[in-house]
Amino acid sequence: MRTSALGALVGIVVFACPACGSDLPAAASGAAGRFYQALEVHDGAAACALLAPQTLQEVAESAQGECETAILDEGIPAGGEVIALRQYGTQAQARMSDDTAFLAEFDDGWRVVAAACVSQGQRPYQCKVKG
Amino acid sequence: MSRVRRFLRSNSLSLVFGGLFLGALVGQAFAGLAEFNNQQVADGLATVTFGRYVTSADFAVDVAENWQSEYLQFLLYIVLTVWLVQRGSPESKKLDEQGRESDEKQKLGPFAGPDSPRWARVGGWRTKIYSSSLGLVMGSVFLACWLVQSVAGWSAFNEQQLKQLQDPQSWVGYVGSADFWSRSLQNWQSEFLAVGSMAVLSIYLRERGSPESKPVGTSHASTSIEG
Repeated sequence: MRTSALGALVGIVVFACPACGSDLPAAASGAAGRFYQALEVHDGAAACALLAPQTLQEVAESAQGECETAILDEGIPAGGEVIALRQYGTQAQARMSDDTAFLAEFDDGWRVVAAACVSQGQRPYQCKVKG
Repeated sequence: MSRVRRFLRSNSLSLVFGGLFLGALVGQAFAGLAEFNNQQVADGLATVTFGRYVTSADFAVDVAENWQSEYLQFLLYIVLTVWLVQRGSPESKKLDEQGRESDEKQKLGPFAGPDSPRWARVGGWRTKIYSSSLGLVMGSVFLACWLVQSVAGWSAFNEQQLKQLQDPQSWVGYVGSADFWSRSLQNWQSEFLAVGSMAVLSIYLRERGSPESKPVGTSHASTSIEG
């Protein structure tokens, strides 16, 4: 029985914990914080550099212009502090004091997939910016 | 015959199944990686490396859900065949032998032989535990794998939720979710079907030389006779 209990513990550690996320949540949290900081100082280029490729393309296409200027006109609320970060695998959700953003992990770090998101209960968040 | 060849021959069943297991697991890892990355590309997200995938929740839940169901299958088969019988099946014991059977038949305590395991000879709690050790270990492995499935499945489910811009769930919420029970029950039903089929088909069908079959010429009515 002791062997079985040990096996269970090893199994959980080997299987489950790496599954809970490979990098420190701080990385995703930092990307979210930098994104909202860039918007706060009207640095569109820095904010766009933190967007996921598909989201960046969507912002530029919908505004029919450059992301750097379009992102500042999207009506993204000031994020404030990161109050909670939930990360599972390559995905994360950053709850800011005044907004909610979704992020994904890319080869060069975490990028914002969606921002200015409002909860719709059981349905997906409604986001002003998304890919 | 050399010692190595003798060892290989004496343990061929375990060795072949060990090899098949590892081969299939590696194959599953590569196929799962390709499927995961195809979905990532379709979603406009980054692909992951092989190392990252085999330590991910996605891979862990796919492995654990199959493991738990296999151990559950054998646990039930081992325990239920103590009391349940199937007339004509080599997988069943004789119809009048249902139950735990006598100490004499089970070679316990004073009826143990010189080569009997020590815990079968000594009596008391050790013999009691040893008498159920196969079921206890299979049951423990089943529960451990099911627990791992629940944790890894919860993480994989929440990764999917976040991809769809939805809130993640708590572990308790996940254990009561359709995803958890769908994964569990789809594996269980196939295991129960396979075991039930084996018990019934082996009444009428034969595989010459297999210990899982009755000898080819044995009557359909003969129970508990293995080839």
